[in-house]
Amino acid sequence: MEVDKGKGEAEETRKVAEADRDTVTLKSSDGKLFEVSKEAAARLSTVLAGMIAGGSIDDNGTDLKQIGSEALENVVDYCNKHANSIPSAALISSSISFNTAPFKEPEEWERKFVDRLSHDALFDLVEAANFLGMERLLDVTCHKISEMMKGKSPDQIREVFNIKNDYTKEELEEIRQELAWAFYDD
Amino acid sequence: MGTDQQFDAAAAAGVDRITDLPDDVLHMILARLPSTTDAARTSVLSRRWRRVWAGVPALSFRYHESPSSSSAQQVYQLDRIDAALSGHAATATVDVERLEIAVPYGVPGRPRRPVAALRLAAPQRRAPARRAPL
Repeated sequence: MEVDKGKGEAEETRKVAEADRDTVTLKSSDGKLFEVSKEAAARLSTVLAGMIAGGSIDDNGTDLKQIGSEALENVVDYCNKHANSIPSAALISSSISFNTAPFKEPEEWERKFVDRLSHDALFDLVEAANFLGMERLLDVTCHKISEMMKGKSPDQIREVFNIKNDYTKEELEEIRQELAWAFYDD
Repeated sequence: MGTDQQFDAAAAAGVDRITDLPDDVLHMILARLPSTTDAARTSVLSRRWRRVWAGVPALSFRYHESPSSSSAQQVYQLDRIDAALSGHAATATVDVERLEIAVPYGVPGRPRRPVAALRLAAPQRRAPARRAPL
């Protein structure tokens, strides 16, 4: 019977899969499946590491409802590239303190990786990295965003990021006085 | 989400993606700007940004010195660092974990003021006010 045959095949693939289960399958909010190396996922994402250790990884695709397929594809792509290009020791040394450790500059490939992203894709990736506890990817994406702010006036920054100025003139003047040390003309 | 086409649509619609990021992530972004001065300037962007900079637990100041800097200008720069440290202490929502002040060293005739800035930096976390027992 067809059903049995299908079942037999599924059994077969499952056995093969279990034999070398060195990947995990992740499922995006829109239902697409992605495979990523278990080692890289556990090393780069505290959340995935926790799920792997806790056995809550679903072989049919672990649901990541907060992450769309494009962002998840970038996450997986990043993990795979990372697995191939950086010794893990480099990572461990950068994780002393999330916010304040002197930053490790992005590698050349990491720079290229984020440079090719559209504005929206970049922000989707920041959110995904934050959600998955991917410190290094968060580092790299935040670095990119800070570069987009660097050397720009407040007006220019608002323009780049579509930030709406909801201050009154008086409030702005008040802030400029309070932070006079930051608003000076050399 | 993310294709260029969709980005154009988002840009045209004026979608602000950065403002909705959690504070933790904004702190990481601001901490990567060249100095705390740059971070503090983001306070004028919008109300949401008013005190984001004060939550960055790392402070960084760079003392610039050009050959043409007069000694008055140099003192002025150090005064600004002092003011920045006081300002941060007054509004900070976190303890400072890293303080970096970059000052060129060994320039003859430069006022020995960096020490003042550092002295000011040290006791920023005020001792808790003593309270009389009830």
